[in-house]
Order: sequence, then C-alpha cells, then structure tokens
Amino acid sequence: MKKKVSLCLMVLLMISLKGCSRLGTQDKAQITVITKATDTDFWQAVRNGCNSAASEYNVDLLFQGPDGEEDFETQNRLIEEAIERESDAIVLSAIDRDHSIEIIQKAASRGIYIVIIDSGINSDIPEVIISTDNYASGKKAGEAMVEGASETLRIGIVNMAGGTANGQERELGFTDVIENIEDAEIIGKVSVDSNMESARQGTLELLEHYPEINAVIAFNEYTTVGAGTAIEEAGLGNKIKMIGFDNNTIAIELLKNGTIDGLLVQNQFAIGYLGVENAYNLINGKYIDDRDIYMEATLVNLDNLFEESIEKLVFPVEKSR
Amino acid sequence: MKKNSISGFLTILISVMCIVLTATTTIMFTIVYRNSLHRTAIINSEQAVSQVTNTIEIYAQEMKNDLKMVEKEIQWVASPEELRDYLNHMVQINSGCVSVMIYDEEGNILEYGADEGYIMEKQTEDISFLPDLFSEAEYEISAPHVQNIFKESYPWVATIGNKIYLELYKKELYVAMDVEVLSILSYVDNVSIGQRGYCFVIDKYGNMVYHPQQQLIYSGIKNENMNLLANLEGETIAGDIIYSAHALEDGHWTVVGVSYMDELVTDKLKELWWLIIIELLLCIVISIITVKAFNRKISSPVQNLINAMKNFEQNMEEFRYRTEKGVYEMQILSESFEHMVKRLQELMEQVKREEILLRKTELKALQTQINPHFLYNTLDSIQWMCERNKADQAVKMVGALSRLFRISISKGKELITIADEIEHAKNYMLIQTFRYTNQFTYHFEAEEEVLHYFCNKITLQPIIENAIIHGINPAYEDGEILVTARQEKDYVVFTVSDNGMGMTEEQCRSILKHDTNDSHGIGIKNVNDRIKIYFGEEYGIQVESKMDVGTTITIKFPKVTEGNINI
Repeated sequence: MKKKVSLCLMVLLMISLKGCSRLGTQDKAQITVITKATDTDFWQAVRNGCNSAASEYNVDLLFQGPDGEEDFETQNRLIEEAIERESDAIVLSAIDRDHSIEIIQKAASRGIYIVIIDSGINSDIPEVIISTDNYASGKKAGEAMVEGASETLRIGIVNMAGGTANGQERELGFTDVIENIEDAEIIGKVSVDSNMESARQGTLELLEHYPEINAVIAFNEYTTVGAGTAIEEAGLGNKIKMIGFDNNTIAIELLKNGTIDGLLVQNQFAIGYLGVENAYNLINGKYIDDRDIYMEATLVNLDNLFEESIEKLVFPVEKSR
Repeated sequence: MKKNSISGFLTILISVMCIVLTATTTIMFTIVYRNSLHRTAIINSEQAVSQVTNTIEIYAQEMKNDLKMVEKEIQWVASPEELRDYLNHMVQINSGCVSVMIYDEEGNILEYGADEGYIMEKQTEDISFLPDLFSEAEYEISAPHVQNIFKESYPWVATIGNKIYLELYKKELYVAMDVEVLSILSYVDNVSIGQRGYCFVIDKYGNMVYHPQQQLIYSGIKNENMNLLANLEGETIAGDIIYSAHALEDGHWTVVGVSYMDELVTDKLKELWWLIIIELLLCIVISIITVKAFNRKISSPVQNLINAMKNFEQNMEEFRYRTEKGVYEMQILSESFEHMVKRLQELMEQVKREEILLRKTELKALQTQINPHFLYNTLDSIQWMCERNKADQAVKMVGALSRLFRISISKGKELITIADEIEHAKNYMLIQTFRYTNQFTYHFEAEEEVLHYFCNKITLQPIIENAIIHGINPAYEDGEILVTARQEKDYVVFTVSDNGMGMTEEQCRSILKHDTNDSHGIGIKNVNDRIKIYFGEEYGIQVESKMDVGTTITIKFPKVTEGNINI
C-alpha cells in the first residue's frame, strides 16, 4: 500500500513539473520563404505580402532567394539549410520544375510543410499551391492583344528559356487564343536568358529578322522590360502593339508613353501573404479546404492605370519607399 | 480504510475541501482575470487608435497650415514668374510637399511648383485635381492616391486644396498641394495592437481610405465588416474581434483599430489553467500526506485502542497492554486504559484469593464442625461419666455438645448473632472444663445492647481454645479466662483475656500470620482473615501479651444489624 501511494505521488509530481515547463512563451512558428530571386520589383512585392502575414500571425520569417532566376542549385542549397534549421514550413517558388523534387521530398519527410507560390514542381508533395493562373492570364494577354486591333497581327514572342513553367503555360494560353483568330498569326519567337539585357538583345534581333512584326508579347518581368526597351530604342513604339507582364517601374513608363499597350499585373502582395498564411495554418493543423489557389492577373492599360483599385495594385505603397 | 472510519471521513473531508477551495478560487480568479484582460484589450485598442488619430490629425494640421501659408503668400503675387518661383521655393524647402498646382476651373495647370528635375507630362487624367476638395468651406484632404503628374514619378500623396482669389489673374482659381503620405502610411502599417491587431482608416461614407493590406482588400481576399464600422464611434465587439473607432477632428475620416480578444485572453488563460492544475495536483499530494500523518497520530492509535479493548474483553486475565504513541490525548487515553487494565486484573486477583480463602475457611469450618479429635475426646468423657454414673454431668455434656454443633453449623450461614456466638463459646468452655477439670475458671461478661448484633461464627472458640492450650499453665490452678463483649462507639468489641504464660512479641505476631497445621481447628489467623474479608481491614484481631502475666486478645467488629447483612 505504501509503495503504491509513493508511486502515485511521484507520478503527480512529475506531471506538475512537466506542466511548469510548458508555461511561459510558446515557440513561434518558423517559416522559410525561398523565391526565384529577391531584388526585382515583383519579388519585393511578394516579400511585403509575406511580411504582412508574418507580423499578423506572429511568425519568424526568413526570406531568401538566389541572385539569378536560373540558379536552382543555390535554391536547393537554401532548401537544405532550411531543413537543417528545422524550419516548420517552406514556402517555395521553384526555379526548376524537376531538379528540386528530391530536396523537397527530403524536407517533407522531416515533417516540414511545403507551400508553393508562383512556380511549382512536378510532384504531389506540396500541400498548398498558390499561383497566378498562368494559362488563363496567357489567354487574357491574347485577348488583350487581339482587342481593338485594326489590322492583321503579326506577332513575335519573347519568352524565357529554361524549365520554368509559368512562361510556357502563359505562352500556351496566348497561342490557343491566337490560333482561333483569323487575323492574327505568330511569326517568330526568341528564347532569351532571364535578364533584361539578354531580352533586349534578343528582341532587337527578332525585330531585325522579322521586320513585318507589328505585335510583340513578352511573358514576364525581365522579358517585358527588355522587349519594351528594345522597341523604344528602335523607335517602333507607335507601330508595334506590345503586351507584357508585371508592373516593373520601367514597364509602367513604357506603358505611359505608349510603347507598351497593356500589362498583365499579378497580385504579388496577395501571393506572398497567402503563401505564409497557408503555411501558418498547416503548422497549426488547421483544415484547409482550398489547396489550389489561383489568382487572376489584371490587365492594366492607360484607361485604368490610375483607378483606385488598380493604382493600389500597380503602385504598391512599399515600392515608393 | 473501513466505511465510516475516521480515516475515510477525513480523507473525503480534506479532498472535498481542497477541490471546493481550488474550484471556487479558480473560477473567481478566472472571471476577474478574464474581465480585466478584456478591459485591458479594449483599452489597448482605444489607446492605439487614439494615438493614430492624433498623429494623423497633426499631419493634417500641418498640411492645412502649409496651404494657408501658401495662400497668404500668393494672393498678392505680381507676376507668373514670381508665382512660379515662390511655388518652387515652397516645394523645395518643404520636404513633405511634392508639388503645388494652380488650376483653373477646367483643371488646366496655370502654374506649378515642384522639386528640381521634375518634368510635367501630358496625361489623360490628373487625379490630383479633385473638384470636391475645392468646394468645401473647410479644408478637406483627399484620400491617399498615386500622383501621376510627373514623368517617372508616382509617389503616394494626399491632396489638399482650396479656392483662392489671385490678384494676378483677377479671378478665383484653385490651389492644390500634394503632400507625400509615405511616412504616415508607414506609420499606420506599423501600428500593432496585441499580436495580430492593426489599424486602418475609412471615410464617413464607409469607403476605405487606407488599409495596411489594401492589395488584399481590393482583390477580395480579405474583407472588413464595413456595415458594422460605417458609423461607429467607440468600441464594439463582434465575436472575438474588438473594433475601436475614433473619428478625426474634422469628422471626414475615422480611424478603426482591430484587435483579437482570444489571442490576448486565451493564451494567458491557458497558462493560468496549467498553473491551476498543478496547484490542484499539489493539493492532492498534500492532502494525502496530511491524512497519512493524521492516521499515524490519531486514527491508528484509536483503532489500536479499540482492538486492545476487544482483546481485553475476550481474555481479561492474560491480557498485556503496551501504550500507544500519538497525540497527547491519545497517549493519556492509552495510559489510562493501561492503568484500568492493571487495576481490574489486580481486583480480579484479589477476588479470587478471597474466594479461595473463603472456600478454604468453609472447608475448615466444616472440618471443625465434625472435628474428630474433639468429638471423640468429648464422647470419651461422656462415656467415662456414664460409666461412673455421673448422669447429670453426662447430660450436661451431651447437651453442650449438641448445642455447640448446632450453632457451628448455623444452617450454613457465616454470620450469626453475638448472642449465639457467646452461647457457642459458653458451651465449648463447659465441655473443656469437664476435660481440663479445675485447671481454670471462666467468666463471661456481655453487654445486653450488643447481643442482637451479628458477627462471624466460630470467632471466640478458636481464641478460647488457644488460651486454654497455650495460655493456661497446668502447674498452677488459678488460671482464669475472661470473655467480654461490649460496644465501643461504632464497634462491637470482644476480649478474651487470660492470666497465663503469655507470649513473646514474636509469638504474638506469628499467631496472626500462620495457619495452624494441627487438626485442632481453624486457628486465630483464620478468624482474623474471615473478619477482614467480611467487614474490612480496620476490623479483626489484636494480640497483647506479657510473659508470665497473661494475654489479651481483642476482636473488633462493626455494628451489624440484620438489615445490613448481605451474605
């Protein structure tokens, strides 16, 4: 009897001590965001969205990315570091659809939650995917290109080489629209590296090669700026109708001066915010019923550039700091 | 622990007390704490909103002051150059001011001031030209917006404007000043209330002026409860969200603070609950220890005492008791019990001894009653008398003998009247004088008053026998034995005195100590014992003697009437 009582007392004391150690501040969740790059307007806007969610949910946030949008090896290294740090979740925008699968599998096997923003990987592992509907925005771009066109469109495509899916899907959406239009056809295409200089050079070469081009489509920030700059340089701003993507400051200028006729702008702030919010919800075991979140790209042109809702999208407050 | 035992009762009592105390303390404390946390949360919210409101008001006031200053200066300006210079100067020295425009009614810019290097460009719409601003009597500030007047420059500004009469153009024009709001918007962005709370600004029509997450609002990902907030002033609570609203002085805008009740309160309450559970567990531990201590000091000793009493009941004689340890009261109880047991055992022992003695005495008395020696000696004498034809003497002897034995038996009773006892003694003396002829004489002196009292039977005879056998010296013929019976205060006193050989002191003492071994009879000790058994220690026999003088034996009895006999 005495032994039994002593045993009970010991158990009770141990429970008490364990309870004591649970008191005090609880650990913050630790989320690592790894993007394709960190220094462009696009990714800065994404970062702002991430930070907004991080402060709202009181999360420890680390925002990282390689210097160039093709360096998937650095991205994999950053993912490895996140695994070693025992990050609770990784929010990833993948440079390469195939070369990051293994490292992500390793992260998932350690219990790290995976959320994809913007660019995904060829795998089922990520629990939530937040991206712009690339195919739909490519279609929108196609429709914008075609609308109000007074003459037959002879279109040149400037797209990025490499394994990123975004550009390819957008191109697919665009070409699907164009195929169904009689008065529009795609004349030529140039694949460039993911920097503005390469895009500018590539566009100049394309225009030289196909002087009959009267319309140009570019599918991301670099290519848009590069192509726009090239068109302006060549003095063809009035002749060529250009549709581009993203709201780089230079692209906005080109929009204002008529070189670029329309921009498909994504809600980068929302993408970053939703990425971190969903990662936080996964960590806390909250049930998420919408695991594929598609954001729409908004077509911005001179007509609506300074509308109240558009201006907030195109000119993020944080950007003008 | 048996049902209804001290131990069981106490355990339940302490446990119930602990639980009730802990529960009530917890509930009370939780309620008070929760209320106080709610209050704190609301106050935090109010304070944050108040502070933001103040800051924005100060900012707005500065804008108004700046515009007033501009108005004052340019009213009387003499030439467009002077106007332009002044406006440029104004913008350059005032770092917050981005531009000042002079508009005509159609929104054409007549003159403007801006920082160096700013190039105006034609655009479709100048969103800094807001006619609404100019129509109010008071100064009104526009909602923050992007300025699109200058090339490659799209800062976020707020516009403040007014109608003004310029002497230069001799008509009423509009002056509008664009002030950068990045810093104030940053400030609002960084306001936090609790962990998750934040502020935003709405106008009096319920439109959003600024929200830290405005990209989410405008794309529909996030919503604020505008219905609730449209005309709010003060606090309101919807679910677990606290809204605090504070209108700006001029009433155009309202600052709304959002904070979450649960995060502030629930986390702290969770901590509290853990503390309470720990406290409860400790309480249980303490009550167990307390009860065990109580058991050791009180209940166990009590239980042991109960068991001892039961054992004692079953086996009174062999019982041995060891005192208990425990609280003071238990020790006293225990010791008292021990004393009681010992006393009882002593008494029982005493009763036994007295029983034995009485039985022995009865046995001896029975023996005396049919003492063979005495009987056949007397019968011898009687035979002798018959042979010698002394019929009178024989008759007397036979009579005396028969009366002697009748009184000896006394129907089995131990106590007889003093009258009967004296009769018994007299008959014995008579018989003995026939046997010890002329060796002694005897006298009886008994007071009338004592004759009806009672005494032990066969009291005098053994003493007289002793006097005859050991006292009287056959060599002398003047032996006398005197037997008296009288009353002395509350006593009845017999004396048997002789003038015989006497005894030493030691002999006196030994008479009362030793039973006689001979078959002559009971003996003086026996008489003494019987008296003491029946009546108590203060009564009985005393022996006084002087060698060669004589012996007096005194026997003391209480005055016993028939009423207070309880044989």
